[in-house]
Amino acid sequence: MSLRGKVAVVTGSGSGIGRAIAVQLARDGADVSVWDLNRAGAEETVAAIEKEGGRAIACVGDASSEADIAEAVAHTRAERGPVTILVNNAGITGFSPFLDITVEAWERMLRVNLTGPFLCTRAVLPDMLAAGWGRIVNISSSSAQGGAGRMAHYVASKGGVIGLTKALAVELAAKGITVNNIPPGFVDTPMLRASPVPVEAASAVAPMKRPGRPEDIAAACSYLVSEAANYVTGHTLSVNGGRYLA
Amino acid sequence: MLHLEPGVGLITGGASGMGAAVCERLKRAGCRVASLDPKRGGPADLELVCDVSDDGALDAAFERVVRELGAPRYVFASAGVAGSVPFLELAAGEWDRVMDVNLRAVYRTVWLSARAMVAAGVPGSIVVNGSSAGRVADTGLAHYSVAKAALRQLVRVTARELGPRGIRVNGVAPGFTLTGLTAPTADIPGFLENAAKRVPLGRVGQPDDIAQAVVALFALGWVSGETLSVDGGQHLNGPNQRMSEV
Repeated sequence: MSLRGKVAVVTGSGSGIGRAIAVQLARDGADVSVWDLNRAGAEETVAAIEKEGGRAIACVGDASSEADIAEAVAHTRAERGPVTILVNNAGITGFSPFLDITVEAWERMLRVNLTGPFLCTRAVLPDMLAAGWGRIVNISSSSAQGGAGRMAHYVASKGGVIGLTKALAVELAAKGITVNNIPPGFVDTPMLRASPVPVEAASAVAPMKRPGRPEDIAAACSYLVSEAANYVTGHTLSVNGGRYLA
Repeated sequence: MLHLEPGVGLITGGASGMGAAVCERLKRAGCRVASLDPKRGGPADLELVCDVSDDGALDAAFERVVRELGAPRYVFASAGVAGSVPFLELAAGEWDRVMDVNLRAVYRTVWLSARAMVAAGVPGSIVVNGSSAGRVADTGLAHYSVAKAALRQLVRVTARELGPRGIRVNGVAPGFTLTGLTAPTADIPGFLENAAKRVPLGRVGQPDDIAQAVVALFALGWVSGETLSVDGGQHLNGPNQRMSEV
């Protein structure tokens, strides 16, 4: 229970990968603040955590809205204390041939997937600096490592997340804060099932013949925020069953 | 936290340093561990004196491990040599020696491990010991860094081919770590202080930093083809790197 006494924010944890991460960090002993746009999803995640004897609260809002973030952070601090673990998982995807991507769609993708992590990190960083300890894990994407067609806005936003990770790692290392990112490969989640990606075809070409499970990503996140990874920062930890696009 | 199924561990270079630290952690997790090393005196259950660059000796050592303990489930190919030589003074013999131990012998270790795992139907996990030198272009390490860079690709291609057999292959990439191999640097005035200053996280590595990462890679079931930097952020260093402050 190495995270006992620590407060972790996991954005977008009302479902999918975010939920699995929130559940895992609670198992590791953290007090988890479950952030999601969807109230029902967030409350289900909290219920799942409490059912196992863990501690969690739900914050409903948009992880790319400064006002919603400020409210969620204030609520989390009041209910549980300063935040020293942040998992920037909230994100959207989109599929569109490049010339069909409108400026609005481009900006919205960057706003949620890149500006959101920037804003959330900015909001909780004072707590980590005061504590002299912090863990930031960003969820990027394997598509940003090798490229992917018909999702240039998504891929660019996730590439930005990888860059943000390294920049923050360099800047915050002397303060006892590690910053890493996990680019998942195909993971079987509601977001994947709702997309045009044919899950069975994707599994067939994977070396291990299956898509990832949210728990696979959660396990890697659990490692990165633990004391075992004290000496790991600025790293892009791929979790993709061996399927590399590049 | 991460769970490790008990099984047989095999470590080249397991008598000291990072290999010994991995051995300790595997034993604590309930594994029986063999070490292949020119030296004895480490924590392994079965210590076999072996020069990994001697094909006959390596073959025989593997046979003996399989016979006495069983096919390995966890393999850490850590045996390696180091040495700093300015490029213009790097003789062919020295190049060959470093390639033999740090690259060719690692390929043979991975090969023998994978074949033993396939023969016994063990869904094993192999980790090779790379280095931040495989990415960062430091001076005096042309032979060493090329061998370590090659290991990164060996990890990727073997992960790709062995994935369908249920076998995962990953690497760790330590930065400057205090082991028997680097101990002589303590005699150079100011060397260790300067080494620590070049690390974003402000200290040199310890063998257990690496061991925790190796064991994590043994446990993370959907991570394959990955080389995990465990170097306090050294892989982010550029030639004019200064540590920025918030």
